[in-house]
Amino acid sequence: MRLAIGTEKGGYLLDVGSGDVTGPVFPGWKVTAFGRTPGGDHLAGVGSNWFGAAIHRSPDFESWTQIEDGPSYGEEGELSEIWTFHTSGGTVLTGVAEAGLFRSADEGQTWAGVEGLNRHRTRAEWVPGGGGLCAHSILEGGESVWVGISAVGVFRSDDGGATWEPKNEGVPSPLTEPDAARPDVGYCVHSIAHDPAAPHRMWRQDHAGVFRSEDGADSWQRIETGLPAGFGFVMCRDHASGRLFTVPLHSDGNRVPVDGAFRAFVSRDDGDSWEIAGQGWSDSPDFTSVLRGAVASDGDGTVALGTTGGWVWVTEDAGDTWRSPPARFPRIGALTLL
Amino acid sequence: MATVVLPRLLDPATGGRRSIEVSGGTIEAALESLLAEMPAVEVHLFDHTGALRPHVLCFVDSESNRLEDRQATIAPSCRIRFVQAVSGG
Repeated sequence: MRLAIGTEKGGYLLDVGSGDVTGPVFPGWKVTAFGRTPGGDHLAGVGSNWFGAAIHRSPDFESWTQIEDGPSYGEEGELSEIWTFHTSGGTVLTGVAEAGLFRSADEGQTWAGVEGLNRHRTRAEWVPGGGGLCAHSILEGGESVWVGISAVGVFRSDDGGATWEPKNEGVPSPLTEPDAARPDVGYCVHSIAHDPAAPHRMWRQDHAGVFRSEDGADSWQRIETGLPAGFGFVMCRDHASGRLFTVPLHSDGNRVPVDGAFRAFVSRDDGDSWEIAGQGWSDSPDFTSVLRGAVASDGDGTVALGTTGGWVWVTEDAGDTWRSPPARFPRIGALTLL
Repeated sequence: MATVVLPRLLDPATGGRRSIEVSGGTIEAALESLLAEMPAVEVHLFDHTGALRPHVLCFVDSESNRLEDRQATIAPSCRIRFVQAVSGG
């Protein structure tokens, strides 16, 4: 099994079995997202604090070419980072910062804005979270598409992306006083997952805690039984086992594992309860965390986590046992299984 | 022909070419020539308004230049050098 690892300082390939590492690709650049075109080419979101962001494409993960006609707001605004890719049918969606979606129907060669979202009626009220104003999560099922935007919330489109509605009922807004009227936006979703076989069953790691929806995000209910804290960035579902994974952090003001005990937590009952995910975790204090993009799953028992400290943790039995290859990397922001 | 020199960090956008001969007697013409040859560098050198990115430096011959006067004339021997700012972590 090979992992592609996107870090603050380049991208790397890790052979999990042998521990061999190749890279960096894009030396000196942040590698912020990985994806695939419908035809199977690799995509990488690459960025720089000095030189802006772009998408690169490769047939083999070795030779890369920058896409010249990449996503852009033109003169209307800056596109500062590529956050995620989502491929379905013949199209690829990318979520970016400043927050918005772009779609390509030609293998990533050209991109057009999803204007129903990018020019949403609430757009003037969108504000950034700690990671910026970014569209970081995309899900699709049936006729619906969901996008998670920080610190704005979850939106759903039921008409192929033409129109979008905020879907955050039941989730507190960290930007609003508790007794104030609920705003349309201002919800800091960190990650979303769903069951592809029943796509309206959803789970959400939010700034405000962990939530589940049974109705496609129309309403959310808190599900934190067994978690040491509700804060975190990860929500991942292994579809074969149905298990959910998250990595709790102390709080929004103290974004490290509680007591330095770095662990993934698993739910085997769709979020009703949570417990430490299996065995293999280090007993040494570990105050690193896992960012929302640094999670990869093959949907068949393998889940990988990349930490802000540059470690990778892998399970190949749906969370029963975990191990960490010895290689250590710069701060990890993106991960994918090849 | 003027010469444009690009920093190594832009290798992924340039295919590793760090020096290119450009035509034109003005800054604007030289940049147009550069971007016609290497369109992928535009997003990295300039922001959405078309201005030189804040942390990118440009020297026209030995003078720092924010490229605000695009009609400024340049000599055929001119060397336009883009430099990555010494900042960051």
